[in-house]
Amino acid sequence: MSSIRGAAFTSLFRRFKANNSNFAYTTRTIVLALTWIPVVAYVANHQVWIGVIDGSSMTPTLNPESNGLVRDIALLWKSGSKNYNSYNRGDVVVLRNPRDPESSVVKRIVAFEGETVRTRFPYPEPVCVVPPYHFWVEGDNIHSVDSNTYGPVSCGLVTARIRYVLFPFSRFGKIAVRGGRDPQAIVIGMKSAR
Amino acid sequence: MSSQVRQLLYSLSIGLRIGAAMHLLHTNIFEFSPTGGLSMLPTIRALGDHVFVDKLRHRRGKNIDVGDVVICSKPTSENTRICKRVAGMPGDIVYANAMPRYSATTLDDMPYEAFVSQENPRAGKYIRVPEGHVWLLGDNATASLDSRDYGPVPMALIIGEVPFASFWGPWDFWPSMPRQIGSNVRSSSSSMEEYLRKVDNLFAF
Repeated sequence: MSSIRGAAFTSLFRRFKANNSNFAYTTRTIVLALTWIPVVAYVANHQVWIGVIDGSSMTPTLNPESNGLVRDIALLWKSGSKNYNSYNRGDVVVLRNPRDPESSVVKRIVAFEGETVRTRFPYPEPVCVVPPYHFWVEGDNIHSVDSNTYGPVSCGLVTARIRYVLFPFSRFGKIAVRGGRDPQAIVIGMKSAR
Repeated sequence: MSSQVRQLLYSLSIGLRIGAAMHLLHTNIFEFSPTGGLSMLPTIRALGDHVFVDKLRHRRGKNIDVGDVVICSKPTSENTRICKRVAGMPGDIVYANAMPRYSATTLDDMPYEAFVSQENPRAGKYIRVPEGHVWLLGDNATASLDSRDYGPVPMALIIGEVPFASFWGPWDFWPSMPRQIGSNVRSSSSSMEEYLRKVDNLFAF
């Protein structure tokens, strides 16, 4: 493989396989590796990435210990996250916090557009009609700050959906489909298609 | 692997990398894109205007102030972007006046309910813009579907600020000289507090 020693246009794979130690060759390899950063960034932003779950709002589905020492690592599926019709009731989603655009929260979808929800304490009204292209999201933990605080959230805020937990290997696999308040009990006018 | 196949794969990988870099540039740094519609009419033409979108400094509502024109994902529909002017920042008190019953965008045979999404609980009330939200209004109030209809918009939906716009008609070879949009208000009174302080100073003899 030493024949590709001086070659300018050689793939990264062949370069690592060749294992040369020439300064110019190394520099060229590093520059070539840097050109792949936008591709990785595209995959991370729009296809799939992993994320560390922080906080206890999805306990016991995610972070069941809630002591802050063991944090779950989940697979964030980002492809098609703006497609409203692709969501099912009970999906766990990552969305931008409506109150703080730089932070994200993990919640479970309870209701879809056109449905009426029986709200919980911090919400000013007893019921709320979910506007078009919006979700009503709630955490599995009763103490979570969710749509009962900031109202229905637009699907445009959703950045990813979570189906699998990766890291504590003891709980590796699909996450629970249900959690939190039962949608059958709190959603009025539920559309059976979801 | 034959050299022709390798050559093809290399070309594809170059295309992939350039495409990804362009996408990264467009989503995070800068975009020049066509805009249209009646809602910003005196400021932006209904047809043929293109806007410069500054995303690096203003993505997700960073450094946004009253008077700025922003591009934003529409909260109530999919794959739609809106261009509106920021009329209220978090903590400001705004008057949520009702949408016009008949406007330039509602046709005679088009029911009002089809234009306005639902019964609006905010209509005719003074409300405080929540934390992390902005109040967006179109410059053409009679033909604009904006925060009066769908309420305060989360800052996370803001894609970027529009500092300039230029006209590029189908018969023009090159876009016109960019004209400034929206930052004239910022220099005089950027926030409600500052405005009220100025008014107080005016009457403090």
